[in-house]
Order: sequence, then C-alpha cells, then structure tokens
Amino acid sequence: MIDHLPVLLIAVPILSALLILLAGWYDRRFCYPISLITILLQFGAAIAILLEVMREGTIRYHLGGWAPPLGIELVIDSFNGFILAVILFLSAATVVYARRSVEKEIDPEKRISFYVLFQLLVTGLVGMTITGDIFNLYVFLEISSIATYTLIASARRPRSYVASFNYLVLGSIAAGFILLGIGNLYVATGTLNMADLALLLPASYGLATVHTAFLFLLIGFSIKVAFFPLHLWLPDAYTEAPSAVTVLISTVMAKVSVYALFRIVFTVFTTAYVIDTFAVTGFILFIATVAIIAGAVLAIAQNDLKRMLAYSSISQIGYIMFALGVANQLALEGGLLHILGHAVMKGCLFMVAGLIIYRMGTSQLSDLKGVAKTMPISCAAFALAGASMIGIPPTIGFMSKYYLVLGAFEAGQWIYAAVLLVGSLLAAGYIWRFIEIAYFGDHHSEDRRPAPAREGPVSMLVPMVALALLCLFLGVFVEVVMEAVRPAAMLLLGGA
Amino acid sequence: MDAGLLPAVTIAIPLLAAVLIPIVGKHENIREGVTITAAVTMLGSVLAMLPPILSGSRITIPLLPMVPGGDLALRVDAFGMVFALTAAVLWLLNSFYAIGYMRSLQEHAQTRFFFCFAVAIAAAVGIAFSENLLTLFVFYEILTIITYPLVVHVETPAAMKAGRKYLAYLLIGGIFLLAAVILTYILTGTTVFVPGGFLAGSGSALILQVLFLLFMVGFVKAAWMPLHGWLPAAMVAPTPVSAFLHAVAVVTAGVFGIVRVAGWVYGMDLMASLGLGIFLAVIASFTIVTASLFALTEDNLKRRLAYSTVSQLSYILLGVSMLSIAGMTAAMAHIPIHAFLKITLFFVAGAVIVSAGKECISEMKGIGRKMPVTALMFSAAALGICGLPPLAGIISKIYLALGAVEGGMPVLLLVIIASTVLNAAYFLPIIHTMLLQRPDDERSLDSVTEPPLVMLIPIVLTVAVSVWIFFSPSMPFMDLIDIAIAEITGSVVP
Amino acid sequence: MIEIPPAFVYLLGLFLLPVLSGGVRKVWALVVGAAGLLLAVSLPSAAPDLAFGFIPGIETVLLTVDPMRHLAGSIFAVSGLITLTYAAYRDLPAAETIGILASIGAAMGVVYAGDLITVFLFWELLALASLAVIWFSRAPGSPGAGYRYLLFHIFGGACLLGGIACTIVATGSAAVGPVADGAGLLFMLVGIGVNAAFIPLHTWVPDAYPRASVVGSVALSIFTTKAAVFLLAAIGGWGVTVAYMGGAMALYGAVFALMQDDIRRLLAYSIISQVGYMVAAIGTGSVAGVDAGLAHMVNDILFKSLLFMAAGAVILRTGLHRLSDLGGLLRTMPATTLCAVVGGLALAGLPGLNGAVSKGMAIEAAGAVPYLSPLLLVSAVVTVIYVFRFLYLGFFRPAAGTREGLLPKDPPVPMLVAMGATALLCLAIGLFPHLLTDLLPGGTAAHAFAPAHLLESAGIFAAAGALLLLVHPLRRPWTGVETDIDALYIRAGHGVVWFSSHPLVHAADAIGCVIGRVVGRFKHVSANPAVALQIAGKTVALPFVRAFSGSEESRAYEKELMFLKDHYPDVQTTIWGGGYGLIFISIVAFLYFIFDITR
Repeated sequence: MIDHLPVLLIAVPILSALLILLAGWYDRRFCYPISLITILLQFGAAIAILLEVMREGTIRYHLGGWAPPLGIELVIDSFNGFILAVILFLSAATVVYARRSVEKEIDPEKRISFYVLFQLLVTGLVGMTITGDIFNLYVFLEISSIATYTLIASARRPRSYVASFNYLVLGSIAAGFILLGIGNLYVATGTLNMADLALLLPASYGLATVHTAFLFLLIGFSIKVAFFPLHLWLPDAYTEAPSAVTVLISTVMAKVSVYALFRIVFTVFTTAYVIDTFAVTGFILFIATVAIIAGAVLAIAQNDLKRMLAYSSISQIGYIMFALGVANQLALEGGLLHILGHAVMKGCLFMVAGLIIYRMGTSQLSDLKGVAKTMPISCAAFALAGASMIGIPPTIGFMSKYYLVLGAFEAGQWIYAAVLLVGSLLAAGYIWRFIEIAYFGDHHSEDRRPAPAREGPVSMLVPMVALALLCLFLGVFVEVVMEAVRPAAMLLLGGA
Repeated sequence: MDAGLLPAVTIAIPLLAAVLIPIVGKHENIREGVTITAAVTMLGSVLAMLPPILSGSRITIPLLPMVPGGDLALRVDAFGMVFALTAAVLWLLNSFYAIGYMRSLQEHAQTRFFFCFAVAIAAAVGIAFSENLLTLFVFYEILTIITYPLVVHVETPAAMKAGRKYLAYLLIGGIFLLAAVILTYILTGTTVFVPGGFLAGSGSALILQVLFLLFMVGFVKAAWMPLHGWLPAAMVAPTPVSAFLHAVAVVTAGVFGIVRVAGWVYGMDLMASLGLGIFLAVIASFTIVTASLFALTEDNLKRRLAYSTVSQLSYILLGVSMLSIAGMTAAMAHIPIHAFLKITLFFVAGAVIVSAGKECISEMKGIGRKMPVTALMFSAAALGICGLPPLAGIISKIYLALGAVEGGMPVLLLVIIASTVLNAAYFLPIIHTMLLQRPDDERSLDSVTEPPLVMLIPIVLTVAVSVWIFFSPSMPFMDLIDIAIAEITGSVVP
Repeated sequence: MIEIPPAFVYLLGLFLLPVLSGGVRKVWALVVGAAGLLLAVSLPSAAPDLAFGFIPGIETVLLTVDPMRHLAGSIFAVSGLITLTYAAYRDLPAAETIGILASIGAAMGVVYAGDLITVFLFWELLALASLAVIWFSRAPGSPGAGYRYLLFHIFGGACLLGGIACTIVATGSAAVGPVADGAGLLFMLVGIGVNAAFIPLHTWVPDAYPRASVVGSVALSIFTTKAAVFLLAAIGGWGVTVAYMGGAMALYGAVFALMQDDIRRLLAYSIISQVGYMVAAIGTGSVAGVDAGLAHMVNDILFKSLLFMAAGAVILRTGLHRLSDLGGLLRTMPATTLCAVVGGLALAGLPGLNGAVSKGMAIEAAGAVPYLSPLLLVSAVVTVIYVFRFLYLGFFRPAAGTREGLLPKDPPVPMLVAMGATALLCLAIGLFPHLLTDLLPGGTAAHAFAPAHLLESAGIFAAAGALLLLVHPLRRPWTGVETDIDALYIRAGHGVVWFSSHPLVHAADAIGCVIGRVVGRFKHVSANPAVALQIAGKTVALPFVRAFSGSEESRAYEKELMFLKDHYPDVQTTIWGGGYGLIFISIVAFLYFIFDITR
C-alpha cells in the first residue's frame, strides 16, 4: 500500500472528481462530503509519505513500471514532500471553509461543477508537485490552470469574467514560454526526466539553447507565480474569484508554482548554473526587492480588503523569490519557511475577507468601521495573521523573515537585507489600516448604525481560527518545522 | 516550588490573566479581581526570586529552541531583577489606580484595556528576564504592539494620529534593533548576554560603532532626542497608560535595553576604546538640556511631565556614557528611582483630571486647597526629581556626579548642574500654582474633592516608596545593582 | 547622655506640627527648640562619631563633635530658640513653622555632619526649608523671590555636589576637610559661595529676606549664610582668593547697605558685609583667622537677628518699612528702640558690645594678608554710617507719620522677651569676651579692651562721625537703590524662557511639519502609483510639449494633465489586464536574443 501512495495521490482525486459528478447528478448534497473525504485522505497520505521520506530518503515511483527516461516517474523527496503536506493541509482547510461560502456565492446548479473543478485543480497541483518528469509537470500545470480559469469565472460577475480572461491570456503565454523552454531542453539533452536533465545539462551549459530554455522557463513560471512586474493578472483574479477559490489559489496554487520554479532552477539547473554560468540570481534578487516594496506600496493604496491582500501577495512572493536570489542555505530555509508561513497566514486573511463578504456583502474598507465589535473572532484571527504578516515575533512570519535577513547578511547583501526589513515595515502600513478601521474606527464616529453583520458560521470560523493559531504555533515551535525544511533547503543546494 | 521555574511562572501569570480577562469581561468586579490577583501573585513570585539573586546566583531556564542566533530563554540576574521588581510593584499600584480611574471616568472598552495591560506587563518582565538579545527583541516587539491599543484608547482622530506616530517610531526602531541583533550574531555567532560584553575584537571599530548606533535607534523607547517625538504624542492616552509608558514598562524597557547592551554586550572597556562614551554623553546631554527647555514653557501638565521624562531618561544614558562604576550605578539606580517618582506625578495628573477635569497647569490654581494630599504628594515627587531630600532622586544625582568625575568627564557636572536648575525651574511653578495661588473665582473649585481612595492610596504609596528608598537605598535596589556592577566589571566571576 | 544628632530633634519634632493647632503648636515648637538646645549644649565635646552606610560605598557620619561644631551648634540652637520665642507672638501657619524648624534642623545637620555627603543632604534640605519659610509667609512678592531663591540654591547645591564628587575621587574620602583643587575647588567655592553670598552670587539675600514675613526674615537671616561660613571654617585651608572675596563682600555689602531705604533690605546687605568679615578672616587660613571668623559668626547671629527682630517689631507696629517714612519711634516704642540701639552699636563695633570683640579679631587676623585690613577698616567706617542712618532716621529723628489705624507701641511680650534675651547676650559677650573666646577651637584670645583696639574703634567712629558732620545728605533719607546685578540674572532668565517658548518650539514644529509633509506626499503618491507616475511624467514633459507642438495640442495636453491632477487619486488608468505584461515579456525575450547573438 504505502509504496503505491504516490500514484494514489493523483489517481484518487481524479476518480473522486468523476464520483462527485455522478453523485451530484443523483443528489447535490453528496458533493461536499466526497470532496472533503478525498482531500483528507490525500492529506493523510501526504503526511505518511513525508514521514517515510524523512525516514527512508527519496521515494521514486515508476508509473506503470516503465523506468525512466522512457516512463514517467514520480519523485518525492524531502523538498516536495514538505510542499505536498503544506498544500494538502491548506486544501483541506479550504474545503471545510468552502461549503458555506459556496452556498452563498455560487448558483446551486453550478455547485457540482465547482467541486469537480476543485478536485481537478487539486489533482493538477499535486501532480505538479510530485512528478519527476518535466513534460508531465507541464501537463499538470495546464490541468490546474484550466480548472483555475473556470473557477475564477464561476463567481459569474462581469468583472470576474474579465479577470478570468486576463488570467487566461497571461496563463497561456506563460504555458507557451514553459513549453518552449521544455522543448529547448529536450533538444539540448534528449531527455525529459528531471534527474537525467540534471545529470546531462552541465555538459551543455555553454549552449545558447540551454540559456534560451532557462530564460523561457524562468519567464513562464514568473508569470505563474505573479512575480512583479508579471503580476498583472493577479489582483483581479484574487479579488473577483469566489472567496473559497481565492483562498485556494492564493495559498496552494501560488505555492505550487513557486515550487515548480525552485525545482527547475535548483534541481534541473543547478546553483552552479544560476550563479556562475548564467548569473541571474543578482537580477532576481533585485527584482524581488522591488517586488517587495512595490507590492506593499500598492497594497497600501487599495481601498478594497481583498484587493489589498492580493497586492500584499505580490509583495510576499517577492520574499520567496528573494530567497531564490540569495541562494544560500539560510536564505532558502527562510524561503521555504515563508512558503509555508505565507500560505497559512494569507489563507487565514483571505478567509477573514471572505467571511466579511459573506456577512456584510462588501469588502470596501470604508464600510467596515468597527466590524471587530460584531465579528470579534474573525478580526482577532486577522490581527494575529496580520501580525505574522508584519513579522512580529514570535509568529511564523517573523521567523521566515529572520532567516531571510540572516541569509542576506551572511551573503553580504546588506542593502537588500535592509530593504527587506523596510518592506516588512510597509506590511505594517496596510495591515494596520484594517486593524485601525476594524477595532478603533467605530467609537466616536457620527453614524452609529447598528452593524448588520454577526459572527460567521462555525464551519468557516474553525479553519480560519486554526490557521491563525497556526501562525503563532508554527512560529513558537519553529524548530519542529525546521526539521522538515532544513533537509529540503540542503537538497536544493545540491547537498544530500 | 522549584525556583528554576519561577521566571517562566512570573511571565505566565499575567498571560494567564490576559486569557481570563476577556472571558470574564462582562463582570467588571471579577475582571478587576483577576487583574489584582495576577498582580499580587506576580509580585510574589518576583519576590520569591529575590533571595537567590541577592545571594549572587542566577536563575536560567531555556524555554524553546527558536532560530540560529538565540533560543527563547530566560535568565534572571541582578540587573534584570531591578527592572522586574520595579515593574511588578508598579503594576500592582497602577492596576488599583487604573481601576479607580477608568471607573470614575466610565471609560469604554475596559476589558480590552486590562487585557492589553496584562500582556504588556508580561512582555516587560520578559524583557527584564531575557537571556539573549533575540529573546529581548521578541518581548520588545510584543510590548510595542500590545501597547498600541492602550495609546489610542480614546479613539479620537487625534488619538489615532498619535497612535500611528507611536507605532511608526517604535516599529522602525524595532527594525533597527532586529538588524543590530542579526549583525551581532553574524559578528560573534552568539547573542547571549555575557557580563562585561562579548563583542570585543569581533569586528572593525567602524562596524562596532555602526552597530551601536543601530542599537541606539533600536532602543528608541528610551526617547532620546531627536527620536523622542512619540512620547509627548502618546500623552493623549488615559493617565494610567501614561503612567505605564513612563514608569512601569515602556521607556524603562528602552533604557534597560541600552544599559544591557552597554554592560552585557559591549562592556565598558570596549565602549571606552570605541569612543562610544563621548557619543552617548553628547546625545544624553543634548537631550537632557533641550527636553528641559521644552518642559519649561509647556502648559499642559501631562506634556510637561512627558518632556521631563525625556530628560530624566537621558540621566540614565548619561550615567552609562561615563563608563565608570559610579556612573553605571547611577544609571541602574535611576531606573527604579525615576519610575517611582514619575509615576506619582502622572497619578496626580490623572487624579486632577478625574476630580477637577483640568489638564492645564494654568487652570490648577489653588487646587491644593481642595485636594491637599494629592497636591502635597505631587510637590514631594517633583522635588524628588529635582534631587532634593528626603526623596530618592538625590541618590542617583550623587552617584551621577561621582561617576562624572570618576569617568574623567568633570564637564558633565555642568550638564547635571544645568539640568538640576532647569528641573527646579519647571517644577516649582506647578507646585506654587497648586499649593499657594488662589483660584481666579473661588466657586470654580467647589465641586473638586480628593480622588477616590483606590486612586489616592497608590499615590501615597509611591511617594512612601521613594522616601523609603532614600532612607534605605541598599535594600533591595542598591544591593542588586552592586551585584550587577560586580558582574560587568568582572570583580566577581558569575 | 544619649548621642542623637540634634538635627533629628527638630526634624522629628516638626512632624507633630500639622496636627497641632493654635497655642499648643506654639508651645510644642518652643519645646522642640528647647530640647534641641539642651541636647546641643549637653553633647560631650568628644562624642564618638555616629556613622552608618547610608549610601553604599560612602560612609556617612551624621554626628561628630568637636569644639568648633560644639560652638556653632550651640549658637544655632540658641538663636533657633530665640526665633521660635519671637515667632510665638501670633499663630503662624503650620507650614511656616515647619519651615523654621526644618531650617534650624538642617543647619544643625550641616554643623554636626562628619562628611561632605551628609553636609550636602542637609544643605539641600536647608534650601528647601528656607523656600517654605519664604513662600508660606504669603507676603507680597514672596512667590517670585522664593522661586529665584530656590533656583539659586539648587544651583549652588549642585555645584557643591560637583565639588564634593571631585574631592571624594581625588582624596578618596568624604571627610570634611581639605578639598580637591582645580575644577573641584572651583565647584566647591561656587557651591559654598552661593550660600555665603559671595559677590556676584549674593543677590538672593536682598531679594528674599525683605519679602518674607517678619518672623521669616529673622529665621532666614540666621541660618543659610552662617551655615556656609561654618562649612568654610570647617574645611579650612583656603587661599588669599577667599580672603579678598571676603574683603570685597564687606565693602560691597556696606556700601549697598548705605544706599538702602527699606530697613530689612539694608540689614540684608549688612549681612553680606558682615559675612564678608568672616570670610576674610577664615580666608587668611590662620588659626586666629578661623577663630575670628567663627567668633564673628556667633556675634553676627546675635546682633543681626536682634536688628531683624527690631525691624520686624517696627514693621508689625507701624506697617512701614522705609527709613524715609519712619521716625520718632523713640517715644512710641522705647523698648524696641533700646534693643535696636544695642544691636546697631554692636554691629557698628562699639567696644563693650560683642561686635567689637570679633570684628577686632577679624581685622587683626586680616593683617596677615596685604591690603586686606584696610579694606575691612573702610567697610567698618561705612558700617558705622549706615547704622547711624538706621537708628537716627528710624528711631530718633522727630516723628514722621505712621500708617493710620495702627497705634505704634512696643510689640507683644514674646517679641520683647526674644529681643531682650538677645540684647543681653550681646552685652554679656561684649563685656566678658572670654565667655565666647574660651569656646573657640583655636583658643585665640580677644583683647577687646586693649588700647590698640580701643584706638582702632575710636578711629573708626571718629572717621564716620566726621563724614556724617561734613556730608549732609548722609543724614537725610533718600530713595534707596533697589537694583543690583540680579536685574541681569532676571533678564537672562527671561531670555531662556523666551528661547524655549519661541525659537525652540517653532524649530521643532517646523521639523515636524517637514516630516509630516514628506510622509503625506508619500501617502498621496502611493494612493495610486500608476497615475502618480503618469502625472509626474507628463509634468516633466510639459515644457517640451509646449515647445515642440502647436498651441491646441499643448492646450489639450495641459487639460489632460489638469484632469489627472484634479481627479487624482480616483481616476483609474485603463490598464487592460495583461497588456503591460505582454510588452514586458517580449522586451525581455528580445533583449535575451540580442544578448545571445552578441556572444
């Protein structure tokens, strides 16, 4: 059983997607439980696999027994094992959260397709995570992307169509770049298996083809992760999608794209390449810092809660790319930690935003005066996750930033470290706007209208509060997390 | 109970209270009961640690592994004890006072208020007991965040503005502090406080000087000029909060940090060789004199007190800058001494607001006829800060003078003289206005009475403590400080 | 006999005062005074030091006794009791009585202190007590005077502390004795000098003393300056600088006293002048000098307080305090007049009264320092003249009016008793100098009735008489000179206040404004960065547009810019989703190929 888990991770959700479709025809209420059970199963499996990996080392699974380079191979090492656990945990949380918000935001007859697409999206993301074959990666990427386009549009508001279409355009461009890149790699080496590529590529590091491939892959994935200034699809997409979808794509999908980028840069191409041969890290570092600042500034400028959080995502992605730019052990630990941390806290924040929309029907900051009085738990969760976003110790957000800065210092990148710190200060700028409005906005204000909302339903509160508390506990017990992160970072740097 | 756990317990008690307060928030008396109980028990556990500390031993307790550069760990030593003891005693008194104050004015959101108070005091004690720079930083940031709701409590636009200012100064300071901590770790590979310092020879003089500058900006809570702006701005807060900022925790944390860094990270010899003493002396002198000048013409009592705090805090920096034993003693001694004196002044200011609703000195004519005890206590504390007997202020003044000469900077005596005169110059008019002047129209004060006992008693007690420190300074503060000094000068091996 | 510091008797005694009232309070005060006196005189002249580590690292000695301290302590106690008796004529406010008791106690503390730190503590306490005496007299002008008084003395105290610190570090001991030189000495001199009314630190004396109540000024006149003199004597070993300072004070004080019209102001300057004698004598550094200084201190305490009491009585009964208004009191207030005459002649130095004894000693000791004794002699002559003016214009000349409603008659019994006692003491010491000289630490004898001295005194009086006969104005009242260099200090004080209230505050506001504007600008830009960039770009481009395009294009351009500016930040730029992204990507790809081809 255990040795077939990898393939099950992909097979089960596809099947469950079909199952949901059938069951949905029979009775709509079956969709949710099935999807929840599937995700939970996957999560359990992911944990099992992660433990296995941390005990035994890398797991390689050959689909249909065909050995690579012919066959497709699923590889789970300490790096993507960690990512897998993270994304599935968040997917689970999202599903729990999704039920009520879906009931509110999506027409009954569309709910079946929603859950189906949801499953497909998860499938695609899991596949992207665990596949060891670069073309296979592309396939899964497309699966997830298409699912995402539809999910975003499923809010069925005019603007959501526009957003979805923008994303579709840019996503396709990205896919095109990625495909071209893969093609070049195949031309250069004649294999599509990542491990083989890593072995064969160094021979042809000089080739322009390889450079092209690298650049195309870089650009393609930069679009997918919304790396400034290729982020333009992101704000609309995040803002206009249904809350549940926003939570999922802002946490899981973004993280998986980042994972893919790391995988390409560090495993397929090695640090030797990105640092010496085709020195791009410095450039990435620079752009990353720009992204951190610009994203934060733009976030401060927003008047809509969800949009604000969307821009903050751009800034946070900058942190992760920062790690890629510094590319040393400490920084990468910080980056991976931030992948986890940002997923958790941003998930929580978007859940709060969604809940506020669920109750008050708006996410305009100006309408949220004194909301803390009516929705204390949600706002408390927001405050906690927000503190983590700013990087107030001892939250996870602080820890990851600490590692990043430490890494930057160690690499002698004083300036960038300073900018990073300033960026975290800007985070305070936009987080605090909401805190002020939510907690201190109402008292003394002329229109003492009785706030319409009340605290949200339990099924939405529980995952939210769980994530919020996680921000704190992951920070306090960061050492436990580091157990998983440290080997991953080592692996990225070509260590054991 | 095992003394080894006491530090953690001491911090856990207010945190536990912080959990309970929102739960019982609806029932005021229970809620206040929780606060008081927590304050008393915390004071108890601090006192329980006093004997071992006085016997020269230290209590170390690692809490959690955190990040490279420092785990979350506590260590109680003599100097930390000075701060912790001050904070614990004053928290108890301040809680009583706050209860009286908030109830008399029927303030809103009292639950939030007391919740933040509890967390803040936990953070303050955490700072006092930090074993390494990183732990100190963690608690320092928590203190910053958790005091924000207190500062903006009244929630007027002005208050929100002040709150932003407060947060901006302190968070930026926090960033600098973090940078300093990380730089320290990069240089030395550790951030654990070592009596006498551990930075020596770890980097070029320039780097170490820059690092010290980072630390100074980081400890912006010490409100040295020109980074003092947040302190007068924070005066919009309710008076118990001002008392908390100025005496119990916040500014105290700032100067505490600087003394820690000077004594336990740099060490006096290193600082001397880097010429940091001069640097610090210049800043401190400038702050002392300029802040006093600001106070001279300020008519709002609380703001005048705020400026007085700014200048008094720099007494501590001045003591450090002398890099002499007496100077360090003065610096450490002035922390509790100033805390006890200044909190009295703020208590009185608040009492006047409660009973007479007056904030401007010019309106307080003859208030002493209606509130004799309060006015007398104010006068006593004010004279104490001017360094007149029989109050504690004169002790740190004496040590400061000794330190100046010992440290070979007699010129600093001029600063001390000037500031003493200026202190008197801006405190005496208040005393005269309160005690001797006649109100413009007699009937304006008819409704004024002494504040409720729950506020009056803390006022009297703080003055009593100040007098007591004057008559027996050694127990416990001076003894603790002697131990701390012995540590950092290496005359005993800890 | 139990050895507790006499200071404690007073300082503990005053705690009962607030709760007592009326007659009881008076009696209690007297009891305390008497107890203090009893304790002071009965202290064995070689009591073991009473010391304990008050401040860690510095051993503070609260009680140490030697002949010098014994003498000073006794006289302070005596005069204290006299003051309290004098004060008993009415119910003083508790606060003022507390102030008086506290200042006696503080003075005693300074006297019996065995180390400089203790001296410093009581020194500050003395200033505080005097402030209470001045303020709580609630006399017109007392607030300002008290304020200036405390500023002066807290300044002096801080300087003294500085000197003490230097001494401790230099000599390693805080014992009352030789002090550090250099900066330390300077600080020390300024510190003591403020209290001893060195020129130009003396202005608080004529400023504060006339403004206290009649009782208050008596109390003030005794302790502060004399405590400083005692400290000077106790430390000893001063150089000629101090001696000449003394001389200067003697002359300066005398001349200014001569120019006064307000009787208490006159006496205040006379204090400066007499303290000058003591300082001069002590400054010589010889044993005889110190003895002379101490002796003159004792005598001055006696006759100066006597004069102040008389003046107080006059003011109480007539409500007048200017020589130009007074007169004819010989008939209405004979007893007071008698006391005033005794005090005045003692001050003038008439043989047979105590003034002559010590003044002679002082001048004799001053002979050791060149040009000093002439100075003192001249001042002595001037002294005689102003004493004459005081007595003649105030008491003997034909009556001027009194304020209506007040019937001038001799003051109440307590005052008379106090004055009488003091007068008797003056007489006794004058007739039997050994009563005093036996107590002197150096055991110097006074030859008050030696021909030389008598001749000297005769000379002084002759010169003064001659001047009075020849120079008519000296016999007429004039409007006194009320201004001293303190005008300068007050001006400076106003200057500081002005500086802190105008330039300083405005500068701070300005800086705050600038920062605020910067932050505001940043917020404004960040409100809609895209449009902000657009506006910036267009604004930069504007002149070129104007230059290179037709009027209507540029007008249209400007209108567009205006529109953007007006609707900022609400105006949304039309970013079609991925447009910029596409452009950027193609640029990167293109650049890459360039870069690839060039290799």
